[in-house]
Amino acid sequence: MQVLGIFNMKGGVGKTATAVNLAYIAASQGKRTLIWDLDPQGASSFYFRIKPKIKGGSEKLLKGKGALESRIKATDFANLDLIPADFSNRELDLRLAEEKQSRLKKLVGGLSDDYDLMVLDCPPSMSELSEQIFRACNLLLVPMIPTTLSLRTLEQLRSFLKKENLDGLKLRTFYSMVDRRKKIHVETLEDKELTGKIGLDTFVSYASAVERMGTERKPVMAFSPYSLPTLQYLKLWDEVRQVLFREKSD
Amino acid sequence: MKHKLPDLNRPLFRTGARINRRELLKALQPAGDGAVVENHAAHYQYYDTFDWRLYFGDLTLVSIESGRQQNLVVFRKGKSEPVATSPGPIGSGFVRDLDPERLPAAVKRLVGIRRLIPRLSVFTDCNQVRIVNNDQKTVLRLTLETLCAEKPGRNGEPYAGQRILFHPLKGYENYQQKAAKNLIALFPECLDEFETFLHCLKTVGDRAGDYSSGINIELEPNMPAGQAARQIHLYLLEMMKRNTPGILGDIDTEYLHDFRVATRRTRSALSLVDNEVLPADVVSKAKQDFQLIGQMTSRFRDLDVYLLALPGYKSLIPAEYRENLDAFGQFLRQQRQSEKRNLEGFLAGGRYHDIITGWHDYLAGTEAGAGDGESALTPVKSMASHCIWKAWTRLMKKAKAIDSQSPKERYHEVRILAKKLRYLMEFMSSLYPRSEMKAAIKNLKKLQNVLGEFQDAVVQSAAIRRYGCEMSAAGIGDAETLMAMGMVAETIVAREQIALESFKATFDQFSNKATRTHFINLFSKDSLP
Ligand SMILES: Nc1ncnc2c1ncn2[C@@H]1O[C@H](COP(=O)(O)OP(=O)(O)OP(=O)(O)O)[C@@H](O)[C@H]1O
Ligand SMILES: [Mg+2]
Repeated sequence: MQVLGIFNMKGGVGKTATAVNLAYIAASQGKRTLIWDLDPQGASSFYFRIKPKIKGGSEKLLKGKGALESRIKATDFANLDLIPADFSNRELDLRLAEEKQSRLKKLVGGLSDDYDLMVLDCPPSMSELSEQIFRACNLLLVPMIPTTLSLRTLEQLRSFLKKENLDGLKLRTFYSMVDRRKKIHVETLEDKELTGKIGLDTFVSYASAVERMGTERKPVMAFSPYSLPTLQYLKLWDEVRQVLFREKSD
Repeated sequence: MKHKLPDLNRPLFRTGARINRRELLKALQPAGDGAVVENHAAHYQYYDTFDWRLYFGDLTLVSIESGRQQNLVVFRKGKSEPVATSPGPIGSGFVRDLDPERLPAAVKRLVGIRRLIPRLSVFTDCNQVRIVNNDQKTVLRLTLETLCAEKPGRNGEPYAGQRILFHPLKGYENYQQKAAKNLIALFPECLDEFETFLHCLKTVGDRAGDYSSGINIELEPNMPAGQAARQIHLYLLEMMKRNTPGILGDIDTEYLHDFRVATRRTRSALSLVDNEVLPADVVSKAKQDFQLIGQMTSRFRDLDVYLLALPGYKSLIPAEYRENLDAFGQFLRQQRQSEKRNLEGFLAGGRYHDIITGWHDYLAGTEAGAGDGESALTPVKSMASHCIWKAWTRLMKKAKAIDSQSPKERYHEVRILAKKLRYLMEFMSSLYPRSEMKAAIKNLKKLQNVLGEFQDAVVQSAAIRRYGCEMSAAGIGDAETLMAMGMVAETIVAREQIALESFKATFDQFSNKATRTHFINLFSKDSLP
């Protein structure tokens, strides 16, 4: 099983949209996929119409064997399951601080026979939880809005990973919510030096179809299969797939 | 009505009148807020060998066609999940033509060289139901299947029942549990795939496993021997009749084999029992008739035997010569093709028809005592013990008299005596304690095996020589082919000697005190004076 973390400490950059759409595409291509909604706000659970867990039990989650597995819910799509958000994941953060650094990795590893891919939709913060996520991942995918400011955030993340001896972790970034009407976006995109540091070729445009996910409560491909964002997420998945599974592009 | 909690791993089943989708949804109402229904049809074609090998191995193999998809699926008794699934059609029905990777080893082992033939067709009408909650999230998936079964190649499609297949959704098991509870009154049974197959088979009037090449005749000890003889012969005749369509359809070589075994058993019974029980003229006519049937079917059977043995023959000789045997195979196939017409002509012809119907009419004749032999009224058990005792003593005498220097004919005679004794014991086995009889037959079988190996070696090496002559007369195959056949014959001849050498030790065992006492106790007591 490969673990893909969608991470950015900044909020509202398109993490959840990326997690939901990439997981959906991977599953539709036959990968047994599990998406774990680690954000207590429960945005990805909401997109799959799955109710978040209100009464938590992060204590149980960390101690009990099979406790994570028992939380899994089938989505309405083949090969795709989800672990819903848990309002007590805030608590999870505090609890993890008392545990070993590899606690989450172990938890995730317990499901490695059942799935080919696990996608982690992370909350926007830098915390004990994020550190443990870094240790559990095979690839950290960072969506970024193309501004100089976000590039500084990326630098911070890189130096943090280095400090924590995590520089072996694969890190890829891509531009998200690219809006051609915004001068700063266009300029950043055309800056060759910056783009060189980015990692992936694909970017995802700002598009109303993605916003409509909130009312449709489905991945964008499930209701708008020929839209621009669908094609862009397909392309993005193709790049990610090659990093994770070393599979050749079709 | 109170019901047990349903076994959620097995489909729920009902045999009562069909219910429709509306009634189903009504019963499901407490489970969720809304339902979405899709409709499709599927066709299940079940396969097994002529003698139900998969069934006896607790497996069913079914080709499921639905939409544009076709899959071969194997189920095991007691399990709902398939043990194997492979895409594509069944093809010829021989395992060698199926995907070896995806077929469970058990299927290959059970089917062997036999052919998978269609045993049952089931047509299903499927209503796929999706129950959603107030977020329009699917919380339950199930299929209502209406099953109609028919015998392959027949029309009819009688209604066989309806079932509910649950499609488990992780994290929503409680909905399935609730639904199953609500449905149990409508669907009171739980049948797995194996049981469903057997149930559908029953609705078309068939029974799995109703083929046996073994003898299973129930006789009463005090029944008149004449009546028992007729019962045995009717049983054997039925076996011949039952195998005839399979021979004519050239479906599996085993049909002809079993047909011929029934013929041989008939002849054996005629020579051992009937001359005292049935009138002499009837016996002598029947002997001639069944000898003719044996003769008319023997060349075709031989060709089957050598074709089946060919891969084994190849492994007897060095690899570089193996290809040379291909011309031999070609010759056998050609011969088989032309011999097939002779066989079909005979089995469909008047002579055969007259023999079979005449024999049947005689055996089924109702006038008591009419057309019976002198000992027809003797109780069958004492008659059986007498005949078995006589056959055993003769076998012992002949067998004791041979040694490694004796001519082959002596061994041949002993083999025939052993075979006749075996048939006789099998006809009569219901008259004796089961386990005792089984042990006695087992001892005899060991002796027969050695004699059989010897005989096979003699017959096969001679046959290969004969085929070689036929081939060169017909200008088929070159010198290299004939040489390769010679090598095969040579290794087979060597087996004669091996079998001969083990005969003595085997017979010593067969004639030791324990085995002898066993036979004496079983058969000498009730024997006629
Ligand atoms: N490509 C896009 N085009 C238009 N709108 C988008 C796009 N990607 C995301 N959005 C919208 O932007 C908002 C934030 O996106 P999303 O929830 O994916 O970001 P996030 O990084 O997960 O946020 P948070 O940090 O709060 O979890 C959502 O309302 C979403 O619909
Ligand atoms: Mg989010």
